[in-house]
Amino acid sequence: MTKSQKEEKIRKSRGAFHEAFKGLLRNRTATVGLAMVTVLAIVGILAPVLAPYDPLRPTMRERLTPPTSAHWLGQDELGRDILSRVIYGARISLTIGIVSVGVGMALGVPWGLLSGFYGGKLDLISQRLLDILLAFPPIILVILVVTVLGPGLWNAMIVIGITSVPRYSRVVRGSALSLRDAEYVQAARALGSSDVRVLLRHVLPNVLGPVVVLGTLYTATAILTAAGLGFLGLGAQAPTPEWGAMLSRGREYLRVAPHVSAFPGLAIFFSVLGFNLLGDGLRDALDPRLRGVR
Amino acid sequence: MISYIIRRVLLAIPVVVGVVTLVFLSLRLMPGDPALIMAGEAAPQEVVERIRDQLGLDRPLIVQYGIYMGNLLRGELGQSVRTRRSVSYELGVRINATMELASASMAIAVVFGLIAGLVSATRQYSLVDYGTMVGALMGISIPVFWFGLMAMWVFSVQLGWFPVGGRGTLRHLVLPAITLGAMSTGMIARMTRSSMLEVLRQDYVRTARSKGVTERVVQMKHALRNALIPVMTIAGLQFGTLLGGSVLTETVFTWPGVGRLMVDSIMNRDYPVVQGAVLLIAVIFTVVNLLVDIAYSFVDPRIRYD
Amino acid sequence: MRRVLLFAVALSLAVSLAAFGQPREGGTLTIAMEYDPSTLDPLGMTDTPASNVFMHVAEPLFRVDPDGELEHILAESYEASDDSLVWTFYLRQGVTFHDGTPFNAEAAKWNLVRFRDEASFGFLLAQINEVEVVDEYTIRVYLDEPFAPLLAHLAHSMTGFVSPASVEAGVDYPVGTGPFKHVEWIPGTRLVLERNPEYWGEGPYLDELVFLPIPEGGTRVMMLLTGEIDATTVIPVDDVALIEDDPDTIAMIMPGLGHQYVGINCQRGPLADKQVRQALNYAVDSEEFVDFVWGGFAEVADSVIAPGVFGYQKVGPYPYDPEKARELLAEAGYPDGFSTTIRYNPGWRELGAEVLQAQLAEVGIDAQLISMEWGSYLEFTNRPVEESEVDIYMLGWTTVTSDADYALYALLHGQEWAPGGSNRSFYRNVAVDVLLDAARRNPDPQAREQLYAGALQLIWDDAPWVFILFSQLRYGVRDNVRDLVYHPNFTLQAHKAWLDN
Repeated sequence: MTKSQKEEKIRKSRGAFHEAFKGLLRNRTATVGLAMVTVLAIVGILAPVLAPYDPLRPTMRERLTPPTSAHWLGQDELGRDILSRVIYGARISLTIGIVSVGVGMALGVPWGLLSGFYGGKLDLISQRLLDILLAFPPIILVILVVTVLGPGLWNAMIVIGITSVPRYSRVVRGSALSLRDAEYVQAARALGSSDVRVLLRHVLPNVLGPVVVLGTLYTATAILTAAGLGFLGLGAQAPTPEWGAMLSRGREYLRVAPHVSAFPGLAIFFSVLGFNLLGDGLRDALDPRLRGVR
Repeated sequence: MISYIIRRVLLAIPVVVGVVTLVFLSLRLMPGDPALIMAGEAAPQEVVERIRDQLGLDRPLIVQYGIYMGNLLRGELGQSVRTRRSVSYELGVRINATMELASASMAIAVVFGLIAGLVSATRQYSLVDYGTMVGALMGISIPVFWFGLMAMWVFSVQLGWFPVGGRGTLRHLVLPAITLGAMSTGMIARMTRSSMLEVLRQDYVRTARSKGVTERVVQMKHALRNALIPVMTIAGLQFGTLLGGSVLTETVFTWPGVGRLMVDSIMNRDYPVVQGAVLLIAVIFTVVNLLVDIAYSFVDPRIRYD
Repeated sequence: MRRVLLFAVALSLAVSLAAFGQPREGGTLTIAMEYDPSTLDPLGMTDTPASNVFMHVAEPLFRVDPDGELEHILAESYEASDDSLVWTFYLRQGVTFHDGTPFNAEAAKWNLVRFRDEASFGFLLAQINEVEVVDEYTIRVYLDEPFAPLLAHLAHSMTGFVSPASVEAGVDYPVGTGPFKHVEWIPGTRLVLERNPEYWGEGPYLDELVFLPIPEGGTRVMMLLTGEIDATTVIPVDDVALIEDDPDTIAMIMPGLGHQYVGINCQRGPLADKQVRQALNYAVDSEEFVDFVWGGFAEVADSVIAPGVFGYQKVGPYPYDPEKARELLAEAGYPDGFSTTIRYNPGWRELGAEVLQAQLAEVGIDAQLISMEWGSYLEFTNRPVEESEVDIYMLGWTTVTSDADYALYALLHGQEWAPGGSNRSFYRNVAVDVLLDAARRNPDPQAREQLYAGALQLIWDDAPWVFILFSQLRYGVRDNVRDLVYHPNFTLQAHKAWLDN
């Protein structure tokens, strides 16, 4: 590849992303999603600045107080400020999303690449292994493994990531399979590029689009699943202000202090919706083929 | 066709064996002792020892595994550690409840999802389209347990329209089915819309239109039929998920299904029941997927299995 | 005022109030339990729901009523030899099992021996050496050494008698002599009993008795409010007001036989020092704990065991005194406190652990919270002392026999260390052991009370736990339910219950 060809390619890919981003902004729902995710990210990053109170500090005498001017979202069963807890919860949910999606991608993408690229027995065996993972309803697999490893946010995040491995792997494998025989890949191989090089330089960039889309959508799933685990008491440990755990604790007071569970519930809803909207938009912009995935 | 089915079934066998082995191992890796849990925090030690004795859980792992697989081949799932009833009985009682809930949810999801998706697709970029799709996305994004709790509070406690929990009459079924079906409804609506739009852009649809076939007939006869294929995939996958993944809904509404049984049995370290339940769900899941694939060939004669 | 507080004095009043009007026959009473019984086979039973259902079907020789008095059920009378080694029981005559076979001395012996030898809870009768059939309606029980709690154990509902013929025929549900007969049990869904028209005693008045397993406390409350159930065990503390506010429902609050404690590993690090353990007791504000974690539905612990238990004596409470706690810590060599862990299982204990953590922080003790899922938690706290990583843990205990022996011997005797016993604090005080052994053998109730009083004082001073609270029981009931017995051992007894219009 000559220098100018290289530049051409870079310009092209830049152009593609530029186009995609423009497409994203043209899509109204996606813009809303992007805005929601941005709000979530800013709130999470700036949590210590934004939170009016210490999210862990109890004020027993004021437990279960409904929203007041001092505590906009009221106080929980220990008298902690719910607004501050919801704000810190954004940080935790972001972490859950990033870590689980990271785990899922880190395992699923290479798995799919190798499986699709080499094919044969390796492919057959690795696909059967994924079938085993797929034969479990995700929540059951997560509960099973979290019980083995012990409850806790980190264990939960890792397992949630693992349940998404088959999806990444399937999508990547499909692309790798079709690219294996593509002319430019054949050419690169003929020119003596190592397999690793071919995979990283030529195959991987082509599957990034769908992977990014999946990742965005799975961020939403991860947040929901972690909240479900929190609801069953297997997720975040007290006193971590994780939304699912807050909601789970709050359900005991649903009948006397609905605000305790309403706001974390809304927060989960808000961020999951945001990631779903963004994922939809990304899909339309980057890879319309993926429309069957969710 | 027959050979295709046979091949699929053969391919499923190692998967099912893998599932059983994985569950067997992870259960044994779990900290916790069924005898201790059954005896509870307020029971003297003699109780724990007596139970441990009764259960015979002290044999080596590999022996237990061998015995289990042997029994499985003979179609025996073993006996519950906690209730001492046979696992097949325990599962039989719950699978009815689970099937009932999953079918009702699926029915809701298919009916409302299809209608919403079709309405959206035929009025693309209209206000109705946006509204429906935002609604569908909300169905996917709402935490199911939160939705269930809120629905229960409003419709059962405040309005008194439906019972709060338990299983029995049709009225018991309504809220859990809606709660559980919300996510699937959203997914099917979205899938229907996008695959309809895709199909409507295809050449043969254009041809039909140009031949003067009315728009309604185009949509219903030519487009819908083809758009249904991906919708069926999603519905099939969703049905599998509904069967095993309704733990949260079952928890909220005290629905005596397999999901709840499985979680309770994990908590109680009731190994045989967990194994049996996971096996059952894995088998159902595999069968449903197979049926979905076979159903394709009826909807779309172009698809053949050789 | 929709709350009925059933305290010892108020009890007779409440009962007589509820009891005016003639019992009305008929109707179905639906009771919600926390979970399904594991089994109704007396050999395998371990849990409260099983016990609660079983007691309506099968009857033991005695029953302990909510006031702690011994009621004679299938034993009309008894006598003990002077050395308390031989007990003679005169059985009720003319009683038949639900399958029509007679209840007699043979059946009683068969049941007692089988329970002792094969049941999970066989330890209850382990002191019995031999059972002899004297005549058709008399049995004699021989002990190796005196065992004072014998009658309390024979009143345990799990020792209820089932028809030997039914067991031999392989019937898979209990066939007893009780006021209700087993009809059907759909696991996880419902358990139905029907009236036994041949019942020997008063009642039953209900046609049907239905038990539903409803694990979520909030759901039980809502079902009570909507009338889907008539009575429920364990209502969440914050929902009590809701039930009181509804004109059709009543919250029954009463002292229980249980205590909640914060166990301390007496063999580990700074916690091995008695002064440190006392400091923890001064540092913890039990009143705040009661108010905020239990919504006020508990009493601050002023002893090791609850007041309703035979052998109780007031020896406390430890006042809330963080100053004193800091002094004790300084004396013990920890003027700046130390780091430790608190383990608990999810549920209300999470809230409790957070309160504890905050209170201990006030005296410089930095406690890390570690939540463990129930099964893992039980195993983790049950490891032998040399492997144990437990510092501070939270557990509870219900003294179902209403006798101090059932709690103190199992939880605090030096020979009962985990995993061989339930002493998970690894507490040992030889003087306490001597007193507990003596109390177990002494047949004289007054002497036993003296012995227990001594033991309680020593235990209190050694502080193997942070003594937190005695829980009150919180039952909810529709207001047309009459004569339902709310027992402090966590059971609802509908033997003579009836429904008013």
